[in-house]
This record gives sequence, C-alpha cells and structure tokens, in this order.
Amino acid sequence: MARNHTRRRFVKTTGAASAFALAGCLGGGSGNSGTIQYLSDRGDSKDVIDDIIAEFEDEHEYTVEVTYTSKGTSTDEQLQKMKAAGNPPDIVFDTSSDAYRYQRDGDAAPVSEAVQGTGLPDPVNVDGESYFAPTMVEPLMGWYRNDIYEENPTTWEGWVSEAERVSSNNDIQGYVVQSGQTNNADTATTQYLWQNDVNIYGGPSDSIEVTIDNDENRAAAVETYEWIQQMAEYAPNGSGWEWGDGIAALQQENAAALMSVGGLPILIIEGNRPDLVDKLSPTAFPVPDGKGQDKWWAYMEGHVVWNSGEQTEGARQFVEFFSKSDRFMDFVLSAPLFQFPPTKEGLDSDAVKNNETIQKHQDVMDLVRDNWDAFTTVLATGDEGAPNIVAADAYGQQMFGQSAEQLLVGDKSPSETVDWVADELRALQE
Amino acid sequence: MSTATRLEAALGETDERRLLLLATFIPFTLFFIVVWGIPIAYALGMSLFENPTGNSTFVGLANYVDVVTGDGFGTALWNSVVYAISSTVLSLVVGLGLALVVNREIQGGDALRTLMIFPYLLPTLVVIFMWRFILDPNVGILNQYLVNWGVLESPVAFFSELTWAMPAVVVASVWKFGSFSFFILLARLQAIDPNLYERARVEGASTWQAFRDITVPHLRGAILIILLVRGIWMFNKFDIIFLSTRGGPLDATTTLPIRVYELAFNDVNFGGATALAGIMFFLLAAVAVVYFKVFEPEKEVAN
Amino acid sequence: MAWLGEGAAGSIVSQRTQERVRRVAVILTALVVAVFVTIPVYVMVAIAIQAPAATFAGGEVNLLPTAPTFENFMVLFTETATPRYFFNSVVVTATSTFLSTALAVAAGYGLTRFDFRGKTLAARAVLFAYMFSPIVLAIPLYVIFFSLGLLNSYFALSLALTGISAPFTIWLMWQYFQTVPMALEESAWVRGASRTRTLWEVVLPVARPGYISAAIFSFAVAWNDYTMARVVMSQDEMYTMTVGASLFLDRVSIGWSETMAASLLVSIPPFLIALFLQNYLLQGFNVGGLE
Repeated sequence: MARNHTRRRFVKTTGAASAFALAGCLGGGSGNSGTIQYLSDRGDSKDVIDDIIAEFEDEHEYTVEVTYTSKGTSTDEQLQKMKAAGNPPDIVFDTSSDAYRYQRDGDAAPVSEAVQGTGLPDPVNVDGESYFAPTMVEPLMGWYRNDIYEENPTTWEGWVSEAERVSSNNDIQGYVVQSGQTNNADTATTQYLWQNDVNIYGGPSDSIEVTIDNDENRAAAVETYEWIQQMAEYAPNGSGWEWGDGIAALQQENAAALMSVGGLPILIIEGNRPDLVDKLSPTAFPVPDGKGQDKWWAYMEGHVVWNSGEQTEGARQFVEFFSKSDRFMDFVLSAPLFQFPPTKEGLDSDAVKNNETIQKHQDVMDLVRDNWDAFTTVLATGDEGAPNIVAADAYGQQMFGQSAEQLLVGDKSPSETVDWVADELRALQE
Repeated sequence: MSTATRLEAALGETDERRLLLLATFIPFTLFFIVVWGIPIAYALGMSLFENPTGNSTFVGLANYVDVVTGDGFGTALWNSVVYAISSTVLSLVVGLGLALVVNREIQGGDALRTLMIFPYLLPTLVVIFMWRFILDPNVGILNQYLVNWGVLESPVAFFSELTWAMPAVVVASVWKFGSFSFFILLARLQAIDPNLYERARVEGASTWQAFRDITVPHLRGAILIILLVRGIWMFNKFDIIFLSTRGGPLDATTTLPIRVYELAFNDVNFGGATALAGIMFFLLAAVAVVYFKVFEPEKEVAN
Repeated sequence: MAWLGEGAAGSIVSQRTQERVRRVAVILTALVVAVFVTIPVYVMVAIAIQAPAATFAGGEVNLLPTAPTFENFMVLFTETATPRYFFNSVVVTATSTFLSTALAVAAGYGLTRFDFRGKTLAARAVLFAYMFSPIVLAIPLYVIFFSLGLLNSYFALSLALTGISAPFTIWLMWQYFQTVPMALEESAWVRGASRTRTLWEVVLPVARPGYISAAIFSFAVAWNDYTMARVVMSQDEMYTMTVGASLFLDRVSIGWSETMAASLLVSIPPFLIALFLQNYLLQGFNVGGLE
C-alpha cells in the first residue's frame, strides 16, 4: 500500500539521517595523543608564547594547545570545567600559592628537573620535590605625585599628615584605600599588616596556626587597621576597587598616591595621560616609624603541571624548555616594570638593560634591586618561609580585602575587624 | 493502552500529517533533551553529592539543607526578589509608557522604535562597559558633571556604594530590557480598534476611564505574560550583576545566581551550587504554576 | 446635569486642555526616553573615536571629539584577534538564528495544528527550561560536548545557542500561529495543495512578522552569549567577540578607549538589524494568543 511505503521510507531516511548526524558528531575527535593542554591568562604575551611553542614543537613530538582565560577566577572556572569532564589541562600558568593548593589536593606533578639546580627559586617544595617552576616575580609598589607631595612621606605618621595636608588644600585626595573582595585590596591590607610586623600565622607547613590575635600581634594588627581607617579619610571610596580602579583614580587626578603592583600604573597612564608620567615616583609601602621593609609582597607566577592530564611527561618537558628558552626574557618583559625576572641575576641581564621602558624608569629598577631580599610570596609565610596553605586559601578568597571592607563599609571597629578576620581564617582551616 | 499500541493507532492516520508532526517535533525534542534535559538532570544529580567533580560521596539532601540554612541565603533571596521585581516592573512601566506615547503617532515614532530595540540587541558585556564607564567614580562622566555642577562634593562610586549599587544595576538592566515590553505592548495597542475610543469619547468618558476600560483589558494578557517571563529571566540574571558589581559591595547585590557562582567557583562546592540552582528552579516553577492557574494569561479577552 | 460638561473630567478641565497636556506629556516622555537611550551610545562612540590621550587629557573625560581617529581600532586589529572573534560571532549567530527560527516555525506550527493531550502543558513546559540557572549548567554541558567530541566547533556552539533561544521562539510562534485562521489553509487544501505546500506558500508569508520577531530574539540571544561560548570554545581562534572582549579587560595594553572601540564594533550588527527590521517587529509581537 502506498501509505505503508511512504511510512517505511520515512522511517528509514530519518534513521539514516540521525545515524549520519551522530557519526559526524562523534567523529569530532576526542583529542590527539601528544597534545599538551596549556592554560594561561597571559593574553598580553600571546606572540611570545606562540614562538616558544613553535620552537618546542620543532624539537619534540608534541603539540601544545593554549587556552587563554582572563585573570582571576576565570582560570579556576576553566579548570573546574575541564576537571569535571575528565579533561584536565596538563600545564597551568598560575601563582605559587595556587600551585601549592593543587599540590595539596594531589593534582600537581613534580617538575624538579626544571627548577632544582637552575638558580630558580623553589617556593613549592614538598618532600624534596619541586612542584612549581617560576617564570616571573611581581612585587607590589606604590606611586605618588612628586609635584603634590614635596617628598616621599615614607612613615605611617608621615603619610597621615601629608595625606591630610594634600586632601585639604587641593582638589585631590591624598591616598587610596582599597577594600572588598579584590586582589588589590587583599594585597594592600596584608602588606600593611606585614609593615607593622604582625605575624598573621605561625608554625610549620602541616600545622599552621593563626596567630594574628595573639597578644602583641593583636595589638599591632589593631594599630594597623586604625591606620587604614585614618588614611581612608583622605581617600576616595575604594570599595570593590581592583588594580584598574586605583590606577584610574591616579590617572584622573582623584588621588595623589596609590599602592599598586609594580609599574602597572605607569604602563597604563602612559597611554592615557602621558603628561602625568613624569610627575609620578615609585615608593615602597608606608612603614611605621622605626620599622624596616623586611617583608615585601611579591607575586610569583609560573608553571604547574597537572598529573591527571594526558601528557604529563610532555608537559614537564615543555615547562623545562620554557624556562631555558631564548625567548624567556621576552616573555617576562612583555609587561616590563610589572613582570620581573625570577632571579636577581636576571635583573642584571642584557635583556633588562636594553629594554626601553625600563631604561626610562631606573628608579623602579633600583627600588626592586635594593629590596630584592625582602620579597616574599604570600605562600611562604609559614615558619622560615615554609609553604602556608591557610595563607594561600585566604588569598584565594581575598580575606584581608574583605576585612578592610568590614572595617570601612561594615563599620566594624579595628578591634572587631581583627577578631572577624581571625575567625574567618580559622574557619578556612576546617 | 501501551505506548506502542497508541503509537500504532496514531500512525494509522494520515501519513503526511504524521510525517510533518515528526519532522517538526523530533528536532525540537532532541534539542531540548540535549541542551536542557540532560544538563538539568545531571546538575540535579550533582546536587545530591558532596564534591561531585572530584571524589564524590552521596549525601542526599544534605546540600539543600546546608544551602538554605547557610549564611547568605536569606540575603541573596531577598536581593533576588528585589532585583527581579524592580527591574521587571520598571521595565514594564517604561515599556508601557513609551508604547502609549509612540502609539499616538508622533513625529519621530519610527526613530524611537529603532532606538528602543537597539539596547536589547547589545551584548550584556557591552551594556556593562557603557554603564560602568558612565558611573565610574574616576572616569565616569555622570560623576564628572555632577561634581562640576556642584551637585556632589565628591564622586559617588555608584556600583560600590551600599545604597546605590542595587539601583545602579537595576537602571542598567532596565536600559537593556525595557524594549522587550515596549514592543509587545505597542503591538497589542495598535491592534485595538480605534472606534472603541471614539465611542468612549462620544459617551463622555475621560482619558483615564478610557484607559481603564478599553486599553487595560486588551493589554491584560500581554502584561501578565511579560511579568512572568521577564520576572523569571531577571530572577535568574547573572551576567549583568556579576559584571558590574560582582555581588558587592558587601553582598548588597548578591542575588541567588551570584551566590550559585560563588558556591561553584569560589568555594568550589558544586554540590551546594547545584542544590541552590535546584532550589531556585523549584521556587520559580511553583510560582509559575500558581501564576498560570490564577491569572491564565493566555485567555481570550471578552470585549 | 448640564454643567458637568461632556465628561466627568471635562468639568474641571476642558477636553482641549486635556488634549494639550497629554500632547506635552507625550513629547516630554519621548524626549526623556530618547535621551536616556542615546547617551550611553553616544558616550561609547565618542570614546571609541578619540585617542586615549585626547579622551583623558587634563584629568577629565572629554566627550567632544575634536580630532577623531581610528587609532583604537588599529590597536584592536593588530594586537588582538578581534577580526577573528567578530567573524566567529557572525558565523555562530547567523547559524543559530536561522536554526532557531526554522525550529520555531516548525514546532510552533505543529503545536497549533495538531492536538494532543497536555498540549498547553507541553507548551508552557518549555518556559520551565529557563528556570534553571545556566551557571551550573555550564559544567554538564561541557561534559556532554566533550564526550561527543563537539568542543571547539561552530556546529556545537550554534546548536547550544539555538537550544537556548528555541524554547521562547517556539512558544512565540505557537502563540502567533494561533492567529492565522485555519480558513486560509483550508481554502488552499480545497484547491488541492498538499499540506506541506500550503505551509510553505500560504501560511509562512502570513506568519512573516511572527518569525521575524523570533529571528530577532534568537539573534539577541546568540549575539549576546558569553556562557555557551566559554563552555564550547577553548581555542583562541574560536572565541566569539563577547569572550574575546572579556579577555581584553585584564590586558595592560587594552584600556577604556579600545574597549569602547570593540563595543562599537559589536554594536554594528544590532544597529543594522534594528534599522531594517524594526518595522516587522510590530506586527510580529502582535501575538494573537495573548488576546
């Protein structure tokens, strides 16, 4: 019968069509063998990265596929997705704190050959194996208007009086105080506590103790928050400010001084307000009278290899290759004054000497060189620089930035703020 | 009757009819299942485990309990409701007002229509770029002019102030989504027979009475649907709030979707995140069911 | 009573004054809205065509470009993969818009013309899809696409985007088709046309305003999308404009000026669509079922 014919034919065609479609879908390929998955947030350095990859692929039998993410949580997002799908990356470009977190969670593979014996720092060393290959150092740095401040106020007391003077005389606030769940706020607040010799933590890596509210530490911590509160009176509302916001305040002349990271402000202001660049001078963080710059926050960023990816061995080789590549310094200097070589010798290398931007800002290099030994990552805050997972986690959630927010927006007293942050830190340990 | 026999009986009828039916529904159902059905089921499944993406352990409804009793849930729920209602109602009012205006055939009505649809088509990211730039405390022109004209002493960081963050986010949302209701309502308005208004005027009704007795009943269905659909979408809106305030300051704009994100990626607690998403789902579903029952927005208007 | 005039309100204020007040209110509202909508767009354009140094000169933001330049666009084109991102966005949006509209017409028609139990429920059920927060759906979707080997393909992303807009477009067309009287089709059948042919040559043209608005909605969803693109695409060359632009935000060399330039680029297709299709929209949203 005609009807049955059509029906049968229809079913056949639909069946065939769907089979085809499905085949086409599946044929997409579930990943080549020999492809190293590389997760990075250095979109700025894409060209250099591509060059290094090309060289690597010439000499080795692997291919490297890069996924760029934007900075911050986006890398974590991507990681979670890939992990959930059973397709974790092989290499992640991240900070030393994140590397330690991965190691603690059992996700990191050792890269000892790439690190040990090369002169590179070894911040994530567990049981003799290194799990992090650093590529760059990013120290915090402050900038102030040398045409508005007669000279660098340097001390806490100096800054208070100078900032007050500037704010009352001019159309411009004297300082910037960041708060909220942002990296800028977190690093600044932590650094302020370090400046006042507050020992936030104590103990070896496997039993970190929160000591911020013990005796002298507590007093010093309360003092620090008091100072922050005071400085906030001479600053615009910095709630929720990230690096860019603070820099915008400096650029738009809403503030005359800013604590930021490296020469990032200069790099940005150069494009928008070239006339301002000469009026800005770098400085260390304010420090209480009589105390020294002995602990200076410096991010350390580099490569960590995940052991659950498909090309762990290849990834290791790539990491080693990367650190020894000719283009390594180009990679580091793709954001000069913001990214610095991971070793002191690197500071004196030709690449650095010949970099135009750096040549124009020798004061930055001097500051970095003079204080190199004080550079500390937030990770190395266990006893004698041992890795401190609590500190890493606290940074991951910008706990101290939040404490500043509790103080300035939530109206807690400095004393209450210290208690709040101590509680939160201990909660992290559970 | 078993499904097979039922299918048999159905297939017995006009072949062409059924072919068309299959042709229209198979792709649809396939899509639906792959893009919505399976992910939702998967996500709901994940909500029953602790650490579902790593070493998962079955915990039943524990995640749900944790989420509801955890801190932040109450605030997030409140913020969600406030945000959803204010942005939906405001965009409805703006859309309705504008539709009424444009309906009266003023010059430039065409230009206005083009203007109105444009924000809706823009990616949220771009909308946020614009509004963040305008409301920024440092480079924002709003602050710049307000300060220059002496209205403000110092710039207001709209997205960072406790009192202004939510309104700022609502304004940006209304800017983008106002046109949705505008177009739906304008179409309905233009379908109303103008003779009705003539008759009303002859009988001596005022503008208000005409509006109340003629316009509103015709718009009833459209308004109800807009409220429901937009309400659901704004309740679940994540990107506008996230991109402008990230939920801050101090949780002032943390709505439930933001909370889901925080649970998923800051706390890396996927069990909790999916549980919260499940809770939101059931909440909205319940509201929708009641809404449909009570209002029956698809009903015909009795003239 | 005579002195009440021609209407209750007419007693206090004459109808003519009412009329005038109304007209002024109308014009004022139109102006306010026009300004409100235009200002952000103007700002974007003004910043995009000025060099950064000109925009920020003197510590204030200058909105009157005295020396327009393409500088920002040049930076975008040379230092980022913007042209590629734009192309990807166009491909994926065009495909998904077409698919979603086609699906909407097919399924919407089916829903109207065929009766089955629980039809209204099924139609309403599609709205329920939107009630689940897409954030957590990103992971299951990633897993699904990964297992099917569909990552980093235009096909997968277009499918995903269609899946997102389809529930609403289908529902929209369902409502719309309800206003197309059966009589139209019946007269065609009477003259011997097949059902398919009727659909194609009689129903579709009448339904045009409906599917145009479905197309516009799916365009908005696809062009705007960020979540799906992030799920499906991990290779830089496959990113869409929205994903690419979000990467700009952290880059040192990309500031507000370039961001506005990118925004301007992204606004061009929507603007063109708004310009040419706004007519059809009106009739399209005259969704009969809402009557």
